[in-house]
Amino acid sequence: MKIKILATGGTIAVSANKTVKQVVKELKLFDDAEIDKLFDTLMMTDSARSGKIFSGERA
Amino acid sequence: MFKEKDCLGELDVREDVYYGIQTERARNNFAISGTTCDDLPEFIKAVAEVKKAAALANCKIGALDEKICKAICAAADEIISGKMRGNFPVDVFQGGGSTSTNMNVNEVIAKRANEILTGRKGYDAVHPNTHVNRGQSTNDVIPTAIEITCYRYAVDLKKSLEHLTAAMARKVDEFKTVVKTSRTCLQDAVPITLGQEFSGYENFLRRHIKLLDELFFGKPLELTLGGTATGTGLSTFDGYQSEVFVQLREVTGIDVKQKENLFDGFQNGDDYIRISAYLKSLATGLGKIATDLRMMSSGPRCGLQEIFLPAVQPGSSIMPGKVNPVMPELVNQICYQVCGDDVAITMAVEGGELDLNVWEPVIIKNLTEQFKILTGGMIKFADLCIDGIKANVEKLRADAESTMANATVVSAILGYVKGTEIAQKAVAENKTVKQVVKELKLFDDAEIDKLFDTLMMTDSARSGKIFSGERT
Repeated sequence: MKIKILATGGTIAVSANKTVKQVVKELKLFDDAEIDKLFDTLMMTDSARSGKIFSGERA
Repeated sequence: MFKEKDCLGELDVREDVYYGIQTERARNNFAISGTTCDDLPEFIKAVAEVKKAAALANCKIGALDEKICKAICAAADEIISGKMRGNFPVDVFQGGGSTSTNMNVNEVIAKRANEILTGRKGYDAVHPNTHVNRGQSTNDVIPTAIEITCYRYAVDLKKSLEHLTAAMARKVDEFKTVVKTSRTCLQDAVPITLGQEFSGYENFLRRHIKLLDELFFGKPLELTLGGTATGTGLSTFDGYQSEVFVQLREVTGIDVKQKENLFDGFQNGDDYIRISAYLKSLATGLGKIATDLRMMSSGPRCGLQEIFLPAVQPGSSIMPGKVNPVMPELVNQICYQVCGDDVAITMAVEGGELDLNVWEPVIIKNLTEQFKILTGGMIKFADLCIDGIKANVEKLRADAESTMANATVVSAILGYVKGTEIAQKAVAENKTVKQVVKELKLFDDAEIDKLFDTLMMTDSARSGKIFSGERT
């Protein structure tokens, strides 16, 4: 279900002129600590780190 | 009609096909050339293989449900086997760095996988982006598929090259004692054998087999897969980076590995330049051979008349009995097209900017054309031209004996000034160099016969000894 909402998340963010992170926060898709980890842009540049986080190591 | 929806709105899509809304939009946006991705079956097959490998890898690491994985693999297999031809209608020319091609394959696999699982087309059980494209981006999938496609094209090209080389080798042997006049600056030069001339062609082809080996074989194929959008691998799950290569090796049967630096891989297309440059090198050499054959066979009454090419079709709509060298003419045109394709590829590679080269649609279109016409062309050239070439032996021998360049023999022994004098006298009196040398009694008759043996002149091991004094 979460994945389905995220697929349209980009569209919502664009039309609301907000960041994806803001929209995700507003929709409470994850808890705040998890969101900070998921939207850490430095983490996103390293598949060794992001792969682990996407695989569930978010807490 | 199915009504499908994407972020731009709704659109009707035919019910009898497996592609979806993104493909339908792209089909309309880019319909310009009439050549579609369905016309690049090897490339579409490679994309489907990447999808299958990615699904298997995701399943293995726990990022994809096993039931969905199996359905994706079954659908991908149907593309790989060619069963889905007709479902890839997007023009080969397209904006978006091949996103439309990637999404076309994603949609076909998703819809078919959905049908396998639920009995109906749609995306409720398997989604083109969420499941089929998981852990991937167009930006790593398409370059990967291009490299795999070119590898397979290279396997076919090598077979074709070997076929032509074997045909050329037979002619080298057949013509090894057929002496003729060589030409430099299109002017008569020293004697050479037709076999020697053909050995140059044969060796050129052998060198290009070796160069092809160095370019493609005996080492892993290095790919950008796993880099996703720009080389960072964002969206892949833990363990995917290595597992996808294990699966891709299994699916394709090709030794593959990830490129050492994915950012370099995403930014640069010099791999394509090297492949295209190799193909251009091969094509221009073949073109040169074709031109030689057309010149040597010119006539049949009023040209060089040195060789006879097999007649494969009538040559004129107005001149009865005329036969043209159509097979070498085909090869010349292959050369021109391959060089034109190379220009397009070179510009497309140079045109990459920042973190990605997005000109892959035109790159794969042109690489495919280069490989295809060279591979097919060399087989036809061997079978319908080279195999049937006959030498005009008597004409060639007469030419070899009459060339003024035979004064080289005189100058090698008596000096350049004497050689020039003999050559000028031969021209003025319309005689052969040998006749003039005989009249002037520069050597005794037995010596002259040895010195002006044209076959001897083609072999420096023999001619060297004779010039060194072993003339009697």
